[in-house]
Amino acid sequence: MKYRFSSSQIFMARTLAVLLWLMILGAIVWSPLVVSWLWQRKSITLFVPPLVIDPLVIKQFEEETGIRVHIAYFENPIALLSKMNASQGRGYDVVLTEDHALHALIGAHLVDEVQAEQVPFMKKIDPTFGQNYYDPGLHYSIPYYSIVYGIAYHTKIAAEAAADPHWSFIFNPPPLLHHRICMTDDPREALLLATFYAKGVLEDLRDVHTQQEVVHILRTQKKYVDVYSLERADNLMQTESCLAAVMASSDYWRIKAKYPFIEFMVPEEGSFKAVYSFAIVQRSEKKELAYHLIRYLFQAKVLHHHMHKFGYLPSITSVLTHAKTPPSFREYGSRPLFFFEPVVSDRLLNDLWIQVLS
Amino acid sequence: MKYGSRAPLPWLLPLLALGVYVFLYVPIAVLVIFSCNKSELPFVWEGFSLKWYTHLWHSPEIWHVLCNSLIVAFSAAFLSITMAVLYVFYGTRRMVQQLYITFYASLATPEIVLAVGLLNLFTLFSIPIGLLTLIIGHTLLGLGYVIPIIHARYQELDKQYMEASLDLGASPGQTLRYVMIPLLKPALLASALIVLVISLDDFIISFFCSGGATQTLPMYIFVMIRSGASPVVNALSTVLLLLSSVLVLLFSSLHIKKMDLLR
Amino acid sequence: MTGLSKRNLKQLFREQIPFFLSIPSLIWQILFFYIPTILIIGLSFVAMTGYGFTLYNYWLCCTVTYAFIIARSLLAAFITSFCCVLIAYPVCYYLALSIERAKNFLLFLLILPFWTSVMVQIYAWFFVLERHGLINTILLRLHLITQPVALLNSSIAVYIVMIYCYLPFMIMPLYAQLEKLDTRLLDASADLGATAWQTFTRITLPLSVPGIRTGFFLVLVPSFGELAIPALLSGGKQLFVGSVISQFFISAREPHLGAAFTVMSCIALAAAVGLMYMAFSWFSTPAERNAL
Repeated sequence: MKYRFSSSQIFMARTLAVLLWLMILGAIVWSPLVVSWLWQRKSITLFVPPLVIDPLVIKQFEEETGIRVHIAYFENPIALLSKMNASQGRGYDVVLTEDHALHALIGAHLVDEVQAEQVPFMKKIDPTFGQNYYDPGLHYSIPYYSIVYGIAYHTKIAAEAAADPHWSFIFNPPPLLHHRICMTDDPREALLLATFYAKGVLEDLRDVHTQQEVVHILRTQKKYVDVYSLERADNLMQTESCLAAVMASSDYWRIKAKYPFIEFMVPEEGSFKAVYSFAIVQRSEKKELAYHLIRYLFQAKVLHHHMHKFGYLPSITSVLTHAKTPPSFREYGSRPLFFFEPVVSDRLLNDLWIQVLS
Repeated sequence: MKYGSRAPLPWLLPLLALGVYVFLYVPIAVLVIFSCNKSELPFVWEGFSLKWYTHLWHSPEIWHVLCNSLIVAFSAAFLSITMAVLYVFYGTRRMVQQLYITFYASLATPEIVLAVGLLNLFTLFSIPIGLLTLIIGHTLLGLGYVIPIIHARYQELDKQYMEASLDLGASPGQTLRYVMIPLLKPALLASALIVLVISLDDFIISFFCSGGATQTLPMYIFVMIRSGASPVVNALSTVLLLLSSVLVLLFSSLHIKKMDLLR
Repeated sequence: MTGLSKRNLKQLFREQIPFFLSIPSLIWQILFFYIPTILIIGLSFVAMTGYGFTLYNYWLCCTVTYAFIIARSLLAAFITSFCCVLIAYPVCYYLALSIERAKNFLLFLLILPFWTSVMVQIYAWFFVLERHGLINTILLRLHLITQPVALLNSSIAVYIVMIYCYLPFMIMPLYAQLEKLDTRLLDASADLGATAWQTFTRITLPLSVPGIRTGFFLVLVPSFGELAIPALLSGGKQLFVGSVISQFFISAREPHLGAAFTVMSCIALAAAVGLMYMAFSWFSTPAERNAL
């Protein structure tokens, strides 16, 4: 005869059923953590921006050493920070990124101190790199290269550009440039550029009146801007959609051979630079392999190859002053160059930027 | 009966209809044509060439991304259909009748709210964001489409088959496998195709729930458009277009067959 | 579960197997849809510092800027929906009521763009709207303009592509509704001496309102939260709800503010949908009101 169960017993049995499903789901969903913990393969993950490290060089490294390198790309430093924060560095071993992103990573204790004996080439790096705001003395980062920001312009307006080699060329442009400017879409860069243009001193952005002035300048600039994008700037110049763009020197260098109608200038009153450095992720369990990769990438021949392919300014002095290095590379440093320092909080920058764009 | 033809301007309606078709297909046609462009500049025509397709073929990144997309799509389809069938078959009348509208809610909310909620949930519980979280998100989307389809089809089924099977001594599991699933096959295939296409083409949930190494095709195209495209994107888009079209063709032919069967 | 022998326990669990097998989809829906939604609402009330109930997040979001962004998204959604109705109606009418041969094939062609990825559709429009793109090339060749028109990176581009992407969402329910139309009514109306226009306005149009309504909401709700189209086609110059939410959650890492803004946008959307629903029921006949 069948036993009739009380409703409370049925309820408990059903609750157990639900819990069983939850456990199954949980096991599946958290399994990658377990898998990565158990699986100690000889492979490392390199987290870089696109168009910075040549995958062919990495392939050579893999063939020579047998260490598998998985390259993960992040579109911009903000994506990097959010992914690193979300996973607490799990899943990545080496990161190559800009100064301000490193500043955030160092602050969040996501990167490890550099072990000096693993990087004997540090003394060959230009000592001026050590004087910075994000990692003074270079304890956490190994600078790989730097880029300079400037204005790329079409030869059609070369005359106007020669007449006004200042930032006012894009903030207060001649009529030919109306609605043909490509401005950077990064809030920090745009706001600091406008602060520099207005005041010349970046710390002034902390003052509320300056903030309003800067927002006003950017809002006035909006009608001259066609697109807000830093990543697409080179593409927009190539297709002649824009006649002037805020661009990084490396982007210009990469495209200038193919598109001779694009010129580049660094404004006389000064401009900005960004330093890209390697950093070892704190959580990584394969730091030895990571250092191996870094040492490989710092070889002179690899640096030369990257410099010519991607157009950036390497950190090793001997490479930069080498005879084969194009002379314009050395000229870029002649103007006063500033960092895009975090003088105000990210949240404030975001707020101001939303005010500009709305 | 041609109802529009007795209007004062009988050619107006077909013209408007044609206009809409042109509006729908000209951009796609231009995209496909320019994928065979020899020049690297996306908007300047220089001659016919299939080199971007060979470029696509040889690019390991794109194969990886395609693999991801397919894995996620098939897993989402499998999971959502299995769960839907089990729900509709094993659920008590009360559970199914009263609770199945809860599945409509995910269709009624904007996808960005779904995506943001999922991302929040995953970060809150430290669930590693990757292929699995992507599958979870797409299955959620799929459930919203599959459950109404399977439920509707199940209602239409003649329950006598099920009762006869149970009377003849089959267990519910056997009834499910040997009686119900064959009867439901067209609906299962149709829902599978829908979930596959939705998952392959989905952008918003993939944008929020994909990790560094797990990108789907639409995400990849988005990143390439953002950072300045070359005709490789055209070739990739054309491939994605063909993939979706084939699936839809299959779906339509099934649908038409089903309509013929009903007649 | 005291007092149950082992055999009874086994029986209990065996009886609950159907329940066990049927609940995964419910668990999935609750766990991955309802709970995250509740979490988002809850998150919007939590202070940014970590703990404590607060309305401060909402206070920060109640600025003119954010209201403007929500209004802009609502406007875009409404314009998209209205234009979709206007564009979809002739095609659906033609397919449903005017032709007989090749109906399935033409319907397949009409629905096909729906199944292509949003990315592919957006990217295709770049080629049409760009300075050297299709429209400008044609206009220049016909000597209608001397300089290329800047169509891309503007509101117009956003609207055009939104209409393009959401048109199939309107076509499907509208076509289904017109297909179901009892053509004998149209015959009867013609027999009773009505002109084609009178038949249309008095019979076809009112009877197609449920389809229009479904399509309208199918377009309104998703287009409000649209993310990719404004991001790529407005040149970064305009912010919509989708871009702001993604900025909050991904770029600026401000989940609390993001949650508050999401909740506010959803309330705005729900209010708009409610208003439109009332408007629709206002304009339909009592018979249809019963059906609604």
